[in-house]
Amino acid sequence: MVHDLDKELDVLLSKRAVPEMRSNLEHRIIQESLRQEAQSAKRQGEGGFFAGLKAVLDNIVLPQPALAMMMVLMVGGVLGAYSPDVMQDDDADSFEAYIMTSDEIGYGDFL
Amino acid sequence: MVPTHKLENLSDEELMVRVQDADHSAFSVLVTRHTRMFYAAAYRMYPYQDEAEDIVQEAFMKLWNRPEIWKADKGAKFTTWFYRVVTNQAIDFARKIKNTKGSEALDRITDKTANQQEVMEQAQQEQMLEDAIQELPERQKLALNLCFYEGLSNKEAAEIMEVGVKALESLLMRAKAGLKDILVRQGNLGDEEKRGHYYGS
Repeated sequence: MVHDLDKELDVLLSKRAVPEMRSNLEHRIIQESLRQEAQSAKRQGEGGFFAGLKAVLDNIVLPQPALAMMMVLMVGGVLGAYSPDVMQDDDADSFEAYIMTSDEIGYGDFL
Repeated sequence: MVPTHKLENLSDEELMVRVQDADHSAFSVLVTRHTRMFYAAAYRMYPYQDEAEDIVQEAFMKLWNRPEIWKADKGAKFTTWFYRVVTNQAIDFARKIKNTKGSEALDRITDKTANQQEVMEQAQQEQMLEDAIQELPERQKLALNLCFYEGLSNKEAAEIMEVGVKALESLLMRAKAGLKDILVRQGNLGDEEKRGHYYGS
């Protein structure tokens, strides 16, 4: 009796059907994923100029402070040496002349 | 970019690695390959066509938007893992709108086949079985669906449900026993006379 019931139940279970999908679900899912991707790309592009600037600044890595200071001093020194105000000095017509100290300075010059 | 016909030769797990690199073609192949199967699984958990379709769509969208939830290194098969995603989605969905649908499913079937006695009887029989299955506790229902309908081995089903094989077998036994009780109580099993009355013949 119990065995018959089991058999009968198995037959009944095997008749359980799943209806066909109503729509072209695969296509719908693929289209929806494309739509969501486009939407998210649009949202990322909506930040405008400041968002772009921020992105650029975020990518800039500051150099080592000591290295930066050395570079600034070197650039400053070179610019200073070759700037027209200095070079047009009557007594200095070259970089060597500019950095050389005159030997003719006497005590009188400081008093 | 790999042509679609070549992607079709890849395994699900290989495709998932590509999906994690935002490869939409790989995602499309996965969708095309498995939608029908997961729709059937969703429908068996929640027997409404439109909602079952929505459940599968939501599950795939989750996969596309957050592919990192798939962990390749855990060694699980993609289908085993995605069954869990779909069934959890279906269970959540069913909980949210429990008791709001009532006998709507039967109404839909009888509306469609009002003048066709034979088809209607078959639809009633299917509906009666469906109702009985839906009466089972969630985990028993899931065990029955995975082993009986999805054709998964006990080991695979146990993996999906995150239980041991023994526990799964016990769930399966209780599901069948529960189903027998419900159907016998309703007079739809083991009593030809009552059943004839139910089907109107």
